[in-house]
Amino acid sequence: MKGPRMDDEQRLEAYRRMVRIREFEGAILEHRSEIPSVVHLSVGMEGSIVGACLAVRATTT
Amino acid sequence: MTGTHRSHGPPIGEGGEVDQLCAELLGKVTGVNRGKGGSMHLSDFSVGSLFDHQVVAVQQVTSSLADQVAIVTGAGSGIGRAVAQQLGLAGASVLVCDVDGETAQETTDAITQGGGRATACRIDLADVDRLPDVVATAESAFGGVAVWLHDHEIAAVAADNDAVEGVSRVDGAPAIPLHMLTLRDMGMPLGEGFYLEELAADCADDGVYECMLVAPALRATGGVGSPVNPLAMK
Repeated sequence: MKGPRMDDEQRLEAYRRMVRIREFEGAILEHRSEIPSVVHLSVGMEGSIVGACLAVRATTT
Repeated sequence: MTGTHRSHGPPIGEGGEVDQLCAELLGKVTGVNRGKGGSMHLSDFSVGSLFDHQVVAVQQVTSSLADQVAIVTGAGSGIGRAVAQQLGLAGASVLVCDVDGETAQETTDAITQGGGRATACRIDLADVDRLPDVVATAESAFGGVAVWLHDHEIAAVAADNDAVEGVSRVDGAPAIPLHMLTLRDMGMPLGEGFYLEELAADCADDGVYECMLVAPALRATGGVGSPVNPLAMK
């Protein structure tokens, strides 16, 4: 594999964010009946989301 | 960064706080979008996370609408009022619907004073049980509902709100009949969350309400769900 590699701290931070998304969506599912709008969860997409987010600059919109 | 109606993940992936996301999902004013975005349209600008759009194109109603009937919702103010007045000018009989009966009457008066035909109708669109009443009102007032979107080659409908229609509930499940009619049954795109203020101001300035509007998605496979870049040319 070529290109920049993630160091341990970056990997840990990526994993932390993936877990946070999964936990958040789990909590939303648990409280589904209290939420007034249509809900679409991103369970299973954690890796692609965090990978994409870490690949862009903070100023990218 | 944008989601695809699955909007919770990206702001968290960007490192954003979850408290305001929770508040948003619960429809609270303390949410990232003051409770107006909800699950599918939440944006967290603090971390550069935007909600998604769908592809949209709009064709202005230009032909004469004499002897036709149009029902315009949210017609008591803003874009809805402008649409109702334009339809009135084009010769249509307009049923002016709004949750605020007074503003609906004001729009109606403006149309009739300009020589058009209009009737006010106070209705809360969240109350789906009353929707047949609206059609019945139009039929009794004007003798039939003839202005249907596909009859007039409307390419798409876009609005400056979050879902074009109000989301109501039937037996506990969300009901979005306009989405079903346009997206599923007619294949007609809906545009949500358009920023129309500048265009509206420009149209009001020069009195020209016709324009060509393009809203291309990303030129990539699957780009149909990407944010669009609406551009109006006059």
